[in-house]
Amino acid sequence: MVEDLLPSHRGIAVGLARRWLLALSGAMLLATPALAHQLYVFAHARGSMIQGEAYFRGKIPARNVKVTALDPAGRIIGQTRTDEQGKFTLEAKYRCGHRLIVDTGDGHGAECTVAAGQLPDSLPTRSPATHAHLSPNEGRRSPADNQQLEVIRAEVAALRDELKQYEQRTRIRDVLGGIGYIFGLSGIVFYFLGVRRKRSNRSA
Amino acid sequence: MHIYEGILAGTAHGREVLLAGAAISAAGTALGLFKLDYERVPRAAVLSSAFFVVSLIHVPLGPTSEHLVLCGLMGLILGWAAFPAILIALLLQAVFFSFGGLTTLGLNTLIMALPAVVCYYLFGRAVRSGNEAAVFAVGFAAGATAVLLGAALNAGSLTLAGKHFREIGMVVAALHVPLAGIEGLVTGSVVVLLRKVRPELLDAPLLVSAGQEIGHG
Repeated sequence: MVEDLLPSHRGIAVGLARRWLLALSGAMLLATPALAHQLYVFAHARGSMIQGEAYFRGKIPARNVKVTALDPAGRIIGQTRTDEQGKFTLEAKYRCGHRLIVDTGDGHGAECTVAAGQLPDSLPTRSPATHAHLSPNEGRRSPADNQQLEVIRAEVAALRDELKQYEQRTRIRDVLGGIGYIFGLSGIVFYFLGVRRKRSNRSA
Repeated sequence: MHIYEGILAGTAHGREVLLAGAAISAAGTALGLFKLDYERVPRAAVLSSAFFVVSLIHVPLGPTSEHLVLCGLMGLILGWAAFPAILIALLLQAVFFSFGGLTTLGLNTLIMALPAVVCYYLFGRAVRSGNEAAVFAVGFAAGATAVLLGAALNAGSLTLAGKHFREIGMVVAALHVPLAGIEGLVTGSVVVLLRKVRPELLDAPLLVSAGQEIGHG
């Protein structure tokens, strides 16, 4: 009896396993482990050049997408596109906060702001509002101080980038937490269904 | 498939579309919960989890990438209960992965759950066929239809929200055509597998392939 059953069952199991493995390997070939839904943009100033990078979750570069720079009043002060690595550069014409908006054209977008303080004094200011943010000592620094400041700025920029990436990583606990929520909720639904059944039993 | 958070909330028409989407989703969810019985709760929970997790597996498509959604499969197995299942999964995706968002939650639920329910009515009966190839074909059709319908709803709501959103809608819709094929293949395989190991999930008889039937005799 057991021998009788086994071959056919094994046949089904092997067939299913083969098919399933095929489907799974197909899916794995197509899929990247990265998360590309959320778009991020990050930028900092180097002299009068604003350098930045736009990428999807998981550091997938956002290639050839539009980058628009707005001043604090919302007027367009610059436009560029990202390259193959998702990087872009933009020459700042004014010393004001640059709001950089990245738009992939399919509904994904992101923005970040480069503060006026990161840009050199040599540039003309755009609006009186931003002028208030500048420190009065800015122009009186020695070249050595400026050099040191440049190094610190670069370090802070790198650190900020790292921090942002750390925040973006989907951690396994997020996934497990979400699944836990779903099962907890189904437990609550079971509770209410149980109450309903008890009541109908009582009234019957 | 998601409508990006914040894109519609900026305009008056966009807010109307968001509100309408949320209202219809609320009605669908209420109906889904009303129809949810003991047997369907674990199914809804498992599929909701699958939907939640599968969004992390991305398929690169041109300049952007899309992920599987499993809406067709959810519709076939859950019927109207797809509404609450998708709502919960989207809510958790918004909270944990910042996909979509809270203001677009209602509309996004509608975009994904309505095609699921349509698939339930279109293919729910055909998926009980005794022919393996037919079952696969029906599964494929359900998976593909759900994606295309979702993309159409997405593009439609963007168009309703304003002319300048139409271009975005068109791009999104075009990107979903290849995804529909992939989704169809996955849904077809899953449906055939379910018919062979857990046919009761689809309220259908056990599917035995032709070769194995001869072996039994």
